[in-house]
Amino acid sequence: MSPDAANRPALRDPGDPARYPAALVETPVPSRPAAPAVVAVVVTRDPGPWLEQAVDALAAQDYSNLAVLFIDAASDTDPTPRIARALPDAYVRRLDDNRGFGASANHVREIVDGAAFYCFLHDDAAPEPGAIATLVNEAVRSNAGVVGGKLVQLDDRKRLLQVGESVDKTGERSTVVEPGELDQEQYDAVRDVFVVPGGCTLVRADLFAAIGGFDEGIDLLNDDLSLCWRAHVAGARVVVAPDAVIGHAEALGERSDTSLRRQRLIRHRLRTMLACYGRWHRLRVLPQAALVATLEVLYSFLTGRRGQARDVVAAWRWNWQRRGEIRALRASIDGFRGVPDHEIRRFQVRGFSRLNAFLRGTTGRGDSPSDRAQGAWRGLARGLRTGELRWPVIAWAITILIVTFGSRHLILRPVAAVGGFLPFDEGPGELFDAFLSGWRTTGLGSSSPAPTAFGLLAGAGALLLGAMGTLRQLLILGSIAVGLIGAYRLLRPTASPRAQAVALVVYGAIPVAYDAVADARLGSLVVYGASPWILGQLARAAGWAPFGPIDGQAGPSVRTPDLVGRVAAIGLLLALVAAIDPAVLPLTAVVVVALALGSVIAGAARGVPRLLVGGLGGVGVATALHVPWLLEFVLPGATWEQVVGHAGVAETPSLSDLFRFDVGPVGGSLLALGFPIAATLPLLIGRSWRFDWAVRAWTVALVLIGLTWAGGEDRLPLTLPPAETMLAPAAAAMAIAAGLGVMAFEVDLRQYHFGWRQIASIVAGAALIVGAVPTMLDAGNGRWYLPAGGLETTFGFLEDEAPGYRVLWIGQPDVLPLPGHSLDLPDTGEPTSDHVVYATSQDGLPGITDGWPGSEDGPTQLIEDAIVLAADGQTSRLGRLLAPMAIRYVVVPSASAPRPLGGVQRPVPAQVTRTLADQLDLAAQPVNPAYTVYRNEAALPSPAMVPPTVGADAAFEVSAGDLEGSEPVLSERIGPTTRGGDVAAGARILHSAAASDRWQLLVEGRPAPSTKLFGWAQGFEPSTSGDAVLRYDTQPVRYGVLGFQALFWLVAIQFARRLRRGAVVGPTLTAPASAPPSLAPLDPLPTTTNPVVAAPLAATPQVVDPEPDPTSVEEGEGSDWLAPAEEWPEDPTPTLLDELEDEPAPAVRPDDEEPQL
Amino acid sequence: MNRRLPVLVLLVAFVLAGVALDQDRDGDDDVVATEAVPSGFPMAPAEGALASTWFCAGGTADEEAFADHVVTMLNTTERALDVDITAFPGTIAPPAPNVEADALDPEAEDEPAAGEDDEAGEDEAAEASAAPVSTEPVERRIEIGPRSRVRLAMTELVTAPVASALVESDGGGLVVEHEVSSIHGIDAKPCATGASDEWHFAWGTTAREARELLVLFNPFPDDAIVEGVFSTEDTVREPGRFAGGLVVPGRSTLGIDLGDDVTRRDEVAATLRTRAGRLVVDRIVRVNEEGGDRGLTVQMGVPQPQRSWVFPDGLVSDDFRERFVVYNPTDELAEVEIVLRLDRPEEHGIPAPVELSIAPGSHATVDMNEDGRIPAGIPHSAVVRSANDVPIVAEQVISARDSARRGLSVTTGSPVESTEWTFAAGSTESPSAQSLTIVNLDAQVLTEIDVVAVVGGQELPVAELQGVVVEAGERLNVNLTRQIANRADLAVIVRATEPIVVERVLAQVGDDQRGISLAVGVPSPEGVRVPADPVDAVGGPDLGDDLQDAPSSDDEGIPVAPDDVELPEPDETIVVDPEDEADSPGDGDEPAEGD
Repeated sequence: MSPDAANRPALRDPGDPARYPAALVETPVPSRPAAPAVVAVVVTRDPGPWLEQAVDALAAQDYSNLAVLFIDAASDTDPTPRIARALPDAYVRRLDDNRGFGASANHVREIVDGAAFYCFLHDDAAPEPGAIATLVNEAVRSNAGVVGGKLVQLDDRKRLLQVGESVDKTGERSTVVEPGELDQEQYDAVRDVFVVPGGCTLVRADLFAAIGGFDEGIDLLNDDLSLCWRAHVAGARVVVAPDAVIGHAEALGERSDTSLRRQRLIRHRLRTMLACYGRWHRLRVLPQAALVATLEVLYSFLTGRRGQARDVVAAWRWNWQRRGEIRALRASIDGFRGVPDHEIRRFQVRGFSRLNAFLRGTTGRGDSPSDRAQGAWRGLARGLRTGELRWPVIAWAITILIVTFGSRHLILRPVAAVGGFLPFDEGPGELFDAFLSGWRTTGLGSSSPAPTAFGLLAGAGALLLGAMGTLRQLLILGSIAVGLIGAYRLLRPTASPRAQAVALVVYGAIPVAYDAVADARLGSLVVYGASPWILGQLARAAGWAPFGPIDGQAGPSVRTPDLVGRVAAIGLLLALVAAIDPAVLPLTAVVVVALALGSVIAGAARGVPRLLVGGLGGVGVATALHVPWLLEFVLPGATWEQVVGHAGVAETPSLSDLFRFDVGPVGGSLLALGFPIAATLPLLIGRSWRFDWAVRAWTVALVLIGLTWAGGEDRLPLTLPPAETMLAPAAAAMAIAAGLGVMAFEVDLRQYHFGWRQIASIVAGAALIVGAVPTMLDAGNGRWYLPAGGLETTFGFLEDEAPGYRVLWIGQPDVLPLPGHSLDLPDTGEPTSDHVVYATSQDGLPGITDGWPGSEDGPTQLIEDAIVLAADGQTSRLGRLLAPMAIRYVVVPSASAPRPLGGVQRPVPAQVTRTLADQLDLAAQPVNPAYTVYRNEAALPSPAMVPPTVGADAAFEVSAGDLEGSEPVLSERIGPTTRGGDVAAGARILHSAAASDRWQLLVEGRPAPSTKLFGWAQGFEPSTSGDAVLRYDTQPVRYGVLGFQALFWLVAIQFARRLRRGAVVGPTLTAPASAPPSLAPLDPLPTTTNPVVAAPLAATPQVVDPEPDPTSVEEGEGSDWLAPAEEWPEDPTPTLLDELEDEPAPAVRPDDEEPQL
Repeated sequence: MNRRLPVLVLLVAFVLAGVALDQDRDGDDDVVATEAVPSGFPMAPAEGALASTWFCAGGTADEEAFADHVVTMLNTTERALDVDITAFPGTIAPPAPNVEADALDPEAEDEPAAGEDDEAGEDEAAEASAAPVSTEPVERRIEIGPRSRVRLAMTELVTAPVASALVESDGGGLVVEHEVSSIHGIDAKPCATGASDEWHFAWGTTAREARELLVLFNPFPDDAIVEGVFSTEDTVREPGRFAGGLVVPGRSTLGIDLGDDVTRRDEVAATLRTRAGRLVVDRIVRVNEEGGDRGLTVQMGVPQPQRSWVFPDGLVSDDFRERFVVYNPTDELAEVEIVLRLDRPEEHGIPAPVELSIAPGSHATVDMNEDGRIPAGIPHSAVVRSANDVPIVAEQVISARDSARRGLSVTTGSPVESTEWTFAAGSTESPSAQSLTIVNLDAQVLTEIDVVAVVGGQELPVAELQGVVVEAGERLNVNLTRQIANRADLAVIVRATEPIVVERVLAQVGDDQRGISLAVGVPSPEGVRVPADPVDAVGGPDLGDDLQDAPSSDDEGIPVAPDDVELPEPDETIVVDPEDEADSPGDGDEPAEGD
């Protein structure tokens, strides 16, 4: 680069005291060997404003033997004038088309000769002065084939981008640098790496030629991976020299969309892996890569990243389509393979980088839920380093240990199908069909909308590839985990890990969830899982400090309150929970009111309107999201118990029990009073928003405890949800108060003189520890006292029954294996008669579709009527009355599980057993002491062919003659609401389901006349014989309504996403209080101050012929800028020359040299 | 700190208020809930009921046997009822091969079995020689016209040593009684309207001159397994037959000759409990003591011991022997009082209650004739109550042995009172005589009663027995034989403005006749209740005040009505003369005590 020598006065001016000590100025420069010729190859493509910075940076390089070549990949605008401004002696070659970076850069082999090194640069990379010299120096010193520098942000050079990377066996990168990490020279050691990032890469020219240059099949991204991998294969070292600092704009995103980036990264990584491995390693690694890809697809689906899943699949397809090309590339690589794969594998990281990166939180730079989760991982890593997360880690370790130990039998074995833990016996397809259908099978059937849960569970089941049992287990156990995570995150805005840890321990040790497990209450469990999240959302909606700026300062990462988005988020959260347990809707409304009341009591009522709008609006949104299902809750026949469930007859807990959350077999000890005691601390010593929140939390807890107590005492006009459900938000509130106690101890206590407050703090701390003991002790059970087995252990005989029947369940709601309808028995003065419910299951034990009771309106009511008639002594032939309903068995459970498997004991009132035992056509079946089972000797199958005179009378005008001569028909089950078989003309067919004009019997394709039998049942009177199909035709409007429902959900999701776009009003979590303050960005590099611009020799850069004569290039003729290295002017850079050798050693790593990572 | 104090005060007040209410809850627990109407006692289904089902367990269906079983069905409604009667022929269970009782009773080895040498020994001989009978139920459908009565002998359907009847109608309003009769006597009692898993009998006897037959009727499809415990005057026995559980197959009837298991005991109280299934159990006892009790009785067991039992009628004299047998089938000591209410207490005084302490599983017998606290010839009512709320079973045993009436009657009285009582069986055709005893247990409120006869398709008010006042705490005796003479199909209904207890006395009157039957009627479910405290009612009124004269009984102890009333023919409407009503005893013009 002799022409440029004169343009570097700063380097050449020996009299510049800023660069050289005075003594050196006076010393004559000795003759040095010529520096290796380096050609800086810059590939440009429609460069943005950063080009000037890149050109200036090259102009500022102090390497003496440097030529600059710009290869423009068919930019729309010729960049030559912009280059000439600072580098008038640079060379520019413009290509006619854009084939990507690698293919464009490969042109250097055609047009350059004699270079010792190529330095490939992006057009948005700006190496600092001396960077290229440092790279060359390191290449020579380390005998490296490929050398990269330290990439920093172009506009903030204190922020690191990359300092070399490793990869895993699949080629996935693994970086040690956190995005945006401050450069504190923590990585400034020369290291062997697997790949150096491509912003500025120095490659020995002979190596470049040997490995075929860049892979031209890679147009964008991961070209550096391919280059470096092949360099490894050829035996060259790949080294990073962090002293060479390169600013990088990473402007790819401004020239192509990010999806393109992800797509290219995945497909080119796969291509490189397929090409670079030998046969054996390819066979070994490829299945693993496929497995990881499958998991990634699944994960992407689960997190709503369909685009990512699509890209993964497309990458494999893309490479499959180019298998011939890859095979050829592999052959060429085999030609220079000098190092076996197992040696190369030693430079790769173990495991899978993608998984490791996720766990470490180094993937995902967006703001998706997974990204935020990963952010949490990063925070964890940082907290562990600093010690600030010691409490949370200990709390989590203890909590996980106890919960896992206490749930070990639930984790390792299937969860018993008892109570509300219904078996998920339908696959995703059947469940979705049930969701789409307008027919409910509960009771005697009804034309009513299916619960939204059917659709949601079907979707979740599909994501788990139909593993519905796993989904059930996840739902049961995952609710506890979600609740614990929510409890920990609930106090995140306080920025007090200790408070978070205490909240976690308190919420995890309060036995509400475990009692819900013991009583098999899925709804209560889900509410437990959601309660901390609901409280957190309500707090953010109100905007009270630290969840917002009201009455204090917002906590870290708290965003600008967006009430609309918050309403949508609350609505979505509640809708998801309400799908399982709709009781959460009125319960949340109560919590909202309690929070508002607490704020008023605390004298901090600002934000209450926002709370009311957010909370009650959320309830409204959730309600709307469940239309049309929730219409069943307001239409005729709807009961409040459909929403909250039926009250059991468990012994009414006292206030003391409720304060201890002792509503079940777990944690029932006076020691549990420790938590309420600990939670009083912030009331006593808290100040500012800590006191306000303590009052709010206590108000919520007291209101819910009070309501639960009043409900148990029958002092309320309405039935309440189970105690476990009611107390779940109370437990979360108690966790808040306990956590705030820690904060008050940390922050407020020091403001008081020594006195009773310090003693109270000690007492609270001790109470906290004591409070957790009862639950810890009960963890020894291993299943939280849930029965070891379910109904299937006893009712196996039902499987031998011919289908087409119902089982009528009568008993207390606590032990009934499915939700039911209230059974209003005649008053006999027995105290428990009010609590009996009944329900039906079809063709055996209850399943998931029986989990939500349908409307009581319509024929289902007849079941109750029949039982009441029998209880009133008006019939001794209940079986006969139930016969047209196809009720073949009547089961009366007195416990939630067969003996001796445990479970809740709730004997049914004697009136029920007496009534059933008095029936002359119900034969008792000895099954299990916990169940009284009667077989209805008069039962009819469904559908049944009955005598033509049968069914003309009212529902209960059934004579013995009506039941004679009946036989089953249409016994082939085609679908949930479709049956097939032969029918005979003139017969009357009784289908024991509520009559509806949507039921059709098609005989040889023709509809048979329908009729209503017994005043309620569907009947048909076919006039022709033949093959028939009985089916229920879903109303077309049902599909339309469901479409609207899906639209509502999407709209709500979109509104909820607005929350992510809110500005952070609090400090960011990535810069905790203990972290050093962020530094101001460095001064930008000088750009237009280079005096070379004004140099007279730099009027026009030289434009290289796009189609140079290859021959002349190879021979080094015809192009004056391709002069041999020895002819290049000397570079006086002393630091370089000191370590130069006459001849570079072969770019092969010595065998005895251990790689350095 | 300024705002901390009020906030803390408020929250603490909230908690304290809750605690106070919680304590209040504890106090509420002390309130005794209203006692439930006991189940298992015969109760007439309402007219609008979907169906009626009656179980008549005890009786024989062999013309040569000792308790001919006849079912009497009364349709109290205005529409015809279709009634299905299913007769279940049964067998007498053979003696257990290794009768534990015999081993315990050395006398049994050298003494003949119960009844072998009595005058009815031919019955057993006939049973023993009878060919095996079919146990298949036989069903017959009949139509019972409005307000009509049908009697059906089981022998018309089956022939068997024992036969039970299941009566089902297609609507409510049916009342069913069953009668047993033979040369030993007669008895008529309501059939059961429900089965039970336990049955108790306070009285029973397997003495030499007696035969006690327990009839176990299982009308249900599944088998019942029965265990039995028997309390005699000296011990408690669990015979080997019952030790492992006696199986009564579904839809069958089984007779147990109790003498096979509990030999030669004058007093046998029994408890039968099922391990599985439910039963209806009747006890048939025939007594033929030379110079002592003689008669035939049938009685359904008590399915559920009660705190109190009301016996409206009783009499102690040279010719009438009255005993109370109280049985405590529970596991706790029962403190029992027998509270007696004599007619005209202002003249005869108030006897002191008989106090008993009855050990668990045992029984006690009080012979009122020997007790001496009741003057001879003074009719009275009695309430047997548990003073410590341990439920008990009580039975009243009355044996008549005067020249005109001889017989034995055993009744359990009534644990409930009701505003309507129906008696399906009954006759005033010679030699039958029939009377009613009405007791108003309420100590404060009088009641007015109407007696109607259900005969010939009509419901006919009985003249002189309309609007009759029964004062608070009083009893009334009505001789229907004199009111409605010579009526073979006399079914009656007693309606009252307030709950009462009504008992019917049936007797075969004449020198060569034998039989007397006391039985409470079948209460209507409307207005039925458990007396709050019958003792208060019986002993409550101030005896010093003017009392309405109660109808007196004749010298023979049979209650008599003040005036004879001629009964019109069945198709005639009985017109009640308002003046007669006004003149009738118990007219409500005078305010009752305590009003």
